[in-house]
Amino acid sequence: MLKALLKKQFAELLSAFAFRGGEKKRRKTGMLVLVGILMLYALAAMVYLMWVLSDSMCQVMLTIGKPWVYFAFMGTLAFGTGLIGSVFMTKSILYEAKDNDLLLSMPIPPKALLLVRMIALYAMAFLFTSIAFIPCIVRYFTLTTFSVLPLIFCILITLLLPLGVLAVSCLLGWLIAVLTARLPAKNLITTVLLIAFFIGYAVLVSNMNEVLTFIMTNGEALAQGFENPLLIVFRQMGLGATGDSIGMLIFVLLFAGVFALTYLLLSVTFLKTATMKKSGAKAKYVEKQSKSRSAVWAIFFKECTRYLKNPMILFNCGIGSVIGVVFAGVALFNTELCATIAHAPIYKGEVAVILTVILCFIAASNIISASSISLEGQNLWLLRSMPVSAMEIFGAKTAFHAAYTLIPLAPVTVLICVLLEIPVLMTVCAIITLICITLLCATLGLVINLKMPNLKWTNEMVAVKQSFSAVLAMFACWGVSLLVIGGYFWFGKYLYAELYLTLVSCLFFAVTALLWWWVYKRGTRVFESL
Amino acid sequence: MLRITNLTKTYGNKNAVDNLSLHIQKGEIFGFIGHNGAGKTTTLKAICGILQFEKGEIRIDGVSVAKDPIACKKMLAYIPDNPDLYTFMTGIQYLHFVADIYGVSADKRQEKIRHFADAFSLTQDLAQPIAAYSHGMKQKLAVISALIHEPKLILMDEPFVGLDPKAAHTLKEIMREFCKQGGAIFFSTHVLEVAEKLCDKVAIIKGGKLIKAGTMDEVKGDDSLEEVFLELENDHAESLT
Repeated sequence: MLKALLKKQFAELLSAFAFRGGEKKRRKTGMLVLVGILMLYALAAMVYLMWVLSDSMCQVMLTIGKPWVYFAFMGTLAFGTGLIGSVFMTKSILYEAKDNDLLLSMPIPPKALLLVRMIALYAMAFLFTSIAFIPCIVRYFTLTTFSVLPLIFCILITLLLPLGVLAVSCLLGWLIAVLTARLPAKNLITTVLLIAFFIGYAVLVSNMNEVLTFIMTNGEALAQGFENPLLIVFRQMGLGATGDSIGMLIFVLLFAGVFALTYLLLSVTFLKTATMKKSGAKAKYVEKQSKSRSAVWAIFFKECTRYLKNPMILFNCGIGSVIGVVFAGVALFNTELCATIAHAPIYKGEVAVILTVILCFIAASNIISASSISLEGQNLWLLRSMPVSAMEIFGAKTAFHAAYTLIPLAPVTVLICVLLEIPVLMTVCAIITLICITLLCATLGLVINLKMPNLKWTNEMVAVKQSFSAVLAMFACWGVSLLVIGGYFWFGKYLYAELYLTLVSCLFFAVTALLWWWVYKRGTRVFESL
Repeated sequence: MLRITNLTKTYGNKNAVDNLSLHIQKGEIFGFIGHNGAGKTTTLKAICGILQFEKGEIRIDGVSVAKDPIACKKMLAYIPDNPDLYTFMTGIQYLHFVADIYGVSADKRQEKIRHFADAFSLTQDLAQPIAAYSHGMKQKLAVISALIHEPKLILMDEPFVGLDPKAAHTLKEIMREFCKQGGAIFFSTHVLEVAEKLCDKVAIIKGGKLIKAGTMDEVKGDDSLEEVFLELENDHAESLT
């Protein structure tokens, strides 16, 4: 039974990548290879980052004779990476799968169901923690003399780290599930939590350089930091990784113990939490004078409701707008830095182009349209049976993508241009480029999702987060943004910035028009055959 | 109102609907019966433009579904067997959404919503998210949304599944009233007693092929519809072997 459940859980995860959801057809080999290459690229980039960090940390800590601090720090980092990678999926995977009723009606002990879902989460956490921890181990053993015991302990730590991540994210997931079921404004709470988490993350990343410099130059202080009772488990892990058996034993007991307790708590409460009826007062219907809208507006507002009512979906495919607002906030709090850049002896046009590229990159991080077809899922019959053309549906979907991106990012562009004292014409060109790339990304996302829809999900997050079309759209849109800066340093710097940005906008507009031509000629037929 | 001529829909090598021809006139309640997988849902989905078909023609009030699907969709309403509605919307938001799509005026929709929501005892739940609805409540909402734009033809796939006895009774009343006013209903069902009492005409389908169609009296004669259905099913199975 466990085997069958595991097969189902992983098949669901893999089907998002291996199958064309709408037609139940396996992807072509070429497409699978492309998926593999993209995945490998992302993996290699992250491993490389961790390798660079491990390299500098390891050398410093070996020099001061405290290799355990190196492992403790990298272990903490791996733990954090794993937590970021899995915490937002935990609640939905554990408690909100659409096949809950079906599986709970079968003779499957709830504990087994929980265990299977935790194994899936473990695999995800393992992927993230390994990206950070394996380069750390490899770098250590290439810089020191090899011995068997530390290697065995390091392997053990690699396997146990995700268990700790799992315990914490499961506890958080359970807590959020219980709280959101009891509190009325669950979407607001989730949104606040997500934004708070994101701001914390942004602050940490923006101060990463200072933090790392401090750590590199203050190994002793870092060692003392790990004396903190909250971090004691990572101290023991660090000691264990260098071959200290007692440290290792304490680490194993702590991690395995916390996991066992978490599993116990969750298995006792699983059935109740998974089937918990949302409480709160029933909304009372009061008849109001209604307004009528056109069909396209109706679909546009339907898209708004779908995304804005689910902060998890919005956060995963609309992070760009949040980053944009945070970016503006950072600029407002650093007016001196902005003034320094504004008065620096460099061509204003170059500043304008670099700013435009940053904003294009941020706009390209919104991949709403790349999951908009997949999210129709079992509801697809509704749009298909209604008297609206496929083009109207596509128009409404891309319009929402554009509105969600441009409503915050256009004012952000103006604000930063003002702070950087960029001339009006350049500001206008920057905004036009932003509009053009947003339209291009919205259309590209739609095209990719039409070619690779996943309509058979059991959890909306699968359609958004584990969807190949979302990953491909994100990389493609980022690639387009990078082309702008590449083109500038290749030939654009010989032109006026206004002219260069106008050329880029025209190019984006032309590609968007071509994509719409494809959508009109082929996309509509693809949609009708889903 | 609805004319299906030599409709054929294939999935791979299998004919899900095979050379089906039917004619449903204004004012008729037309029952469509057959075993699971007989091709009922495929036929209904082809009529409302969800599924494309290889051969044949479907015309609604003289308009071809293949040539002008939007015009046809404006004239009809479809209620599927499993109403997967937008769970992120409230009931009232969903009804307004459907009304917007079909261009129903604000006053007209208000009146329709009031009337049908009261008839199905759903008014107090309209502000609730659809995610909190039971299957029956979703079915009621799907029925109300189908009636909101005053279609000429309603296609229903197992419309009574999940409805409580009172709601089922209300639906039957509404179906009769709708046809009395010149509309037409084509619906599939497994509940033969309901078909027998409610339908003016009935068609029996098996393996995608029409095996009998006509007025209720022509199809069942003095027997019950259940007896006729089972007999026809057996005869057809024997003729195939």
